[in-house]
Amino acid sequence: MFDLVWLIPTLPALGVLLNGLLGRKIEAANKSLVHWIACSAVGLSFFLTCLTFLELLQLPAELRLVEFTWFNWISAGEFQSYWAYQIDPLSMVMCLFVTGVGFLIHIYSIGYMGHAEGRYYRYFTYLNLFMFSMINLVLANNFLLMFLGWEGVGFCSYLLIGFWFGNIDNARAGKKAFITNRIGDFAFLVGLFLLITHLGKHGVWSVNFTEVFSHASALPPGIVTAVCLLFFIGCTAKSAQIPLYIWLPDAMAGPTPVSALIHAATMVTSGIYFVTRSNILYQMSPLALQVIAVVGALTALLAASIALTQNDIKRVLAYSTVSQLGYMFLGLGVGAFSAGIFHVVTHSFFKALLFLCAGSVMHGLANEQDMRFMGGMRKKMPVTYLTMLIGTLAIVGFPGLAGFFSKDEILWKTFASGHVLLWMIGVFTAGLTAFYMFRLIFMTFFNECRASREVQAKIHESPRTMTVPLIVLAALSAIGGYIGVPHALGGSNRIEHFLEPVMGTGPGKLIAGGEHLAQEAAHGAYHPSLAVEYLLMLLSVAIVLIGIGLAYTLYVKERERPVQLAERFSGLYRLMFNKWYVDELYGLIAVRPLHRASLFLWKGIDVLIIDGVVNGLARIFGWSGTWLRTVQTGYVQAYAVSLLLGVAGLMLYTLFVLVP
Amino acid sequence: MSPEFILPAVNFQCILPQILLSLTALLVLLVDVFGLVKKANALALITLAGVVFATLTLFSGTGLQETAFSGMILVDGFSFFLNLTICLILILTILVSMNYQQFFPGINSGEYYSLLIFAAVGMSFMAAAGNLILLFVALELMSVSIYVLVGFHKDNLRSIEAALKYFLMGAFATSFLLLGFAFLYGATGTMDLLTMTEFIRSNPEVLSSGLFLSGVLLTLTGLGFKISMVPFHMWTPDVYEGAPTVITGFMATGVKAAAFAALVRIFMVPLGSLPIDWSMLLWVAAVLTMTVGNIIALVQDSIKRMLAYSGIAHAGYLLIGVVAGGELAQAGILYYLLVYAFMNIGAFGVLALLGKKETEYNTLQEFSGLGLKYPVLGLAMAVFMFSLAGIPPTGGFMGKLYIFSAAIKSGYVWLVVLGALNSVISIYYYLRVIVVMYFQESGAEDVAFPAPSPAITLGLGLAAAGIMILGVFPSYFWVLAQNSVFVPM
Amino acid sequence: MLESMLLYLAAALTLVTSVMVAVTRNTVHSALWMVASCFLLAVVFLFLRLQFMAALQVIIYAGAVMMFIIFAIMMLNLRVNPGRIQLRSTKTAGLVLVLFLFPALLLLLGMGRGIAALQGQVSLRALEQFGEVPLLANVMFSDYLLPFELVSILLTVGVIGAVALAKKRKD
Repeated sequence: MFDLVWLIPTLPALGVLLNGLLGRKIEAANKSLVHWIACSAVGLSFFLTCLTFLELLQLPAELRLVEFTWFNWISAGEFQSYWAYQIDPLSMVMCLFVTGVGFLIHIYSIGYMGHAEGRYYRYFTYLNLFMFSMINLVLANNFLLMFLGWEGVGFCSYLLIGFWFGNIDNARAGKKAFITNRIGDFAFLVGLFLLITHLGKHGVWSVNFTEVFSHASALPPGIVTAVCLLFFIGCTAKSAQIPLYIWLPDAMAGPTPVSALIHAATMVTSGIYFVTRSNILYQMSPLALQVIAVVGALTALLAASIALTQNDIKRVLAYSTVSQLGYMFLGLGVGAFSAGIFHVVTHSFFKALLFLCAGSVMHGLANEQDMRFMGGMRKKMPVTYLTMLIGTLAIVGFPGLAGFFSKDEILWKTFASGHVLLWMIGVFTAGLTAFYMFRLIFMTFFNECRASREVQAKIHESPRTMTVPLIVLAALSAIGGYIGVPHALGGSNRIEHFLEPVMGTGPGKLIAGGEHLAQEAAHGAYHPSLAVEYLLMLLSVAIVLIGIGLAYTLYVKERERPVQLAERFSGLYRLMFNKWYVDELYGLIAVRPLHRASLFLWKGIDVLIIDGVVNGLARIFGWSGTWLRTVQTGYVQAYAVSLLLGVAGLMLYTLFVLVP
Repeated sequence: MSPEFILPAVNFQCILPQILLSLTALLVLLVDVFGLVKKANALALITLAGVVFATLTLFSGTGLQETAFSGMILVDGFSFFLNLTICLILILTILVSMNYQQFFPGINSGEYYSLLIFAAVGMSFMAAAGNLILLFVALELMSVSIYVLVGFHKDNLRSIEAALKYFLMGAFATSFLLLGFAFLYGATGTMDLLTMTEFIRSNPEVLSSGLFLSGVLLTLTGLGFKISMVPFHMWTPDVYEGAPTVITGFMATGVKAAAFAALVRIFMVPLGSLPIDWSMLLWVAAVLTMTVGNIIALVQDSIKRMLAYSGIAHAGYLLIGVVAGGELAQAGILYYLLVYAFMNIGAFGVLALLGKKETEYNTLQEFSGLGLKYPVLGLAMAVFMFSLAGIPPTGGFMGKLYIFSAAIKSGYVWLVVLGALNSVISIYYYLRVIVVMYFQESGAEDVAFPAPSPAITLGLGLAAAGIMILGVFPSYFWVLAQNSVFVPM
Repeated sequence: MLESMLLYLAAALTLVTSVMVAVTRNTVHSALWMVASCFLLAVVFLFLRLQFMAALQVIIYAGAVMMFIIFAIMMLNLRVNPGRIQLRSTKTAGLVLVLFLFPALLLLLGMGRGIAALQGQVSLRALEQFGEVPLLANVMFSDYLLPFELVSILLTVGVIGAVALAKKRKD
């Protein structure tokens, strides 16, 4: 099976080729063929991933690192880079849920995008292209190929956010996402070059993960920290963290399945994946880890506070995504890398589910996104309601559901590593999460319907292609957490053990250079007792319940209270409602000065000086071209003379320069 | 009483592709004369089948390193790579011709296709030749075939004029080449390239003998004519413009590949130990060739003529590789020739798409707005133009990169700077084609591409795919090129 | 001594007659100059002890080929070159260049020390011993077999090309 791993990304690529080149004809001939091609490509990828995963499980834990070199990609001097994949626990976990959730969302899209006449094939082409890039990102065994996937997913995200580019706002949102990501990518690239050149000084001309990490100990600590921080800036853009999270809420302009797939479940988690993949580097730099933890916690809090006041259903979910991603980085920052990945997986289940449910609601409500015009959908869309309730319970961390285990794991590790303040922020944010998520549920599904009469008449449950993925994802959200039940609750935390070989601190130690780190970790950590763990767990459950209760009071029982509250704390409310004015702040300190500077560069420097020189040169070339053209008379005799002239020139050179 | 006659050892295996090609040529001729097949594309399809088969047999000879026919033929990676390039050129040209012949029914004849193949046979023998005599005969075979092909539009004065000009100038230049070969023979006493290399190595004083130097100088003139090196380039625009468009693409790529093969085999390798002054001569020639080609291309209104001048400029880039010397530069030249085949035939193929009975459309005016009307075609043309301009991620970029980096390694920084400047100039006129195709209103109303045939779709698709593969996944072919450099045994 | 002087004389005359071919306006005269040139080349071959080559030169070039050329001239009635294109500048430039190139080439050839080249395949002694034809045949059909065969293809191409250019359209 390991020999077939190249097929996993290639199948979606084939889908891209088929639909991209012939899509228009295929769609005209038989529309269902378009989604058959796209879905079966991703489905087969998922199937192959499962088989590969099972085979990996057959291997003993310390041998679970298989590299598959497809071909030599770029070779320049000593520098070699291969198009090669790495099969290990981490890449398999990522690939499994990427292809799995991706497959479900492909199926969902059949129903959701059914009305997109003429663009249907384009949508599925982009979606398949995204899958191809994402699979390359998680399976790559070197920085370069991973970066190709990294850029590829960004590009697809841009294409899909602006999918309905007829509306200028959508196009603008796409542009915002792209530019914000470019800022991050720039930092990322600088980090990568820094890493390559410094490793090159030690004679390691490679971007291969295993090779880089095994030689990482040779790097000076300052460089490691710089590289880690630069990489992290790249991650803040891709995974929507402070300060570069601003594009994600706007990215909701894309079709809802896209929001589910790219902007909730998969692409935005690639930052977490990358930091985990590079955990050896990060563990060498406590400063970088500290920065990650703080940024993660603050992002979680900030995004949750904004989500409290938003009325657009997709925006609430978007901020919730940002907030959850903050949790994951918090986990990474305190050194709980596998807990971060665990949360990535469970989050991908329930957040994809929530988005798809939101899409289903919008589908039934003539694309209404404002929750103030929803309500009472419980009866009319029972499947959507039930699945969304499960998803919501999962995300708020209701005991027994997926989010409970993963979020608690992160909070517990935060506390256990001594970051009490960060832990407090996390728990408080959990309460906020419970509040705004149930606010969403209550506003959407409870009370009376506030939509206009024409819309109300047409409310209907979504078609089978949409509800089936919802049910599957709901089931996963419910039971997905059992892959990581902690010891305290009688589980064995299977995912952590599974991922251990990839971690520098793990006992498997596939990667050299991790030994001393493991010892350090063993010495430095502080071990609270089991009782404390139970207590903390109860505390966070209590806070979640308070949040839910509060939401019930405010949005079902005493529905005039929110308005009063907003009036009483109007300053705070406006701050939150306007997203703490971050966009405006960036406009003031970054965008506008840049704009002015670039205006000056354009009008002052570029047009006057550079264009002047270039145009002048162009004119000189143009003149000389016209002049030279007159030499081209068309007479063969003249040509023969020119040939003779050439010979004479050669001969003169030989006579007077070469021979003496 | 006569000397003992020793039957020569004949190894047909190593010239099997050429034999198959020649047989195909004769077969096509016979099929046409006897009218055996009536279908419209039959001749082209037979030709195509034969050529593809011959191409496949090429691969049986990979990895060998030997000589055959008493040193006449060098069986090595260099021959293989260039033969592959030449076969690809031939295949692409046939595919493009299949579309072109609907405007010019005269093309659809046995003579046309057999001459095409014979020209390619000449090219491939040039690439594989280990002896000056064989090299000369092969060059003549190629040239004579192409003289006729250039004049294949018998009713078109420009075509006839181009053929006559090319013939006269070609004969003139060939006389220099032949005289040069004679002097080289006189100076070294051998026609065999390997023996000559060995002789030069053991007797370096030959390099300063007048006889030898005159030989080198005149040989350079003859081959310089074929690659349109300035100042031997004057024929190029007239001939390229007058020739049938498909033939222009064929000769721009094929003749260049064969002549550069000869340059590498005669100049780069045996004269690798020449005093540095010689490379200064080629240095000047390279700069002049690039610059003159690019600058005149700037002011052309006809895309075909613009591509003709651009062909001169590309010969200049390739000469940078010759100046640089060394195996890296050789590999760069090989790689560039392969890319050039794809991008140039592709560009001429798009040009050849537009036409009507007995008329070609070549001016920028006539192509305006067509990119919007035919997006896929516009995209293909954009790929070819980007590649010709050397913009990543196309193969043209990688090719230039390899040649330039080899030159920098050999210390010719200024040459590379001038080469890069020239690339910048060239971007203007390449992109102008795209700009005109996309951003200008359609000029002539009656201009429309006929429905693309499967052949041209395949041809252009192959060319575009080749460019992208060479640009994005350069490694395979780069390693192949590096393993294919000519190292005297 | 006398022999080599005669050789040089024949070579010089060949050159002169060749120039006459190019500058004569009357095409028939021009063709006749060419016959003379071919004959003189045969004389050069004779001085180099290549009787067979000399015979071929006379029979094929001076005889057969020239006859065809004169036939063509007669049939097309190309009496006098009608060319009236005045290209005085190119003509002058060409003349000057040739007048420069010829001595320059001679100068260059005489430069540097002569060195002993490799021995050719056929020595003068072998030529006297075996005669020219067997030696030529031997070399042509063994070492030079491939170029020889390729020449046959070249001739085929010549015929095909001539037909292709001369024949009328099918339709």
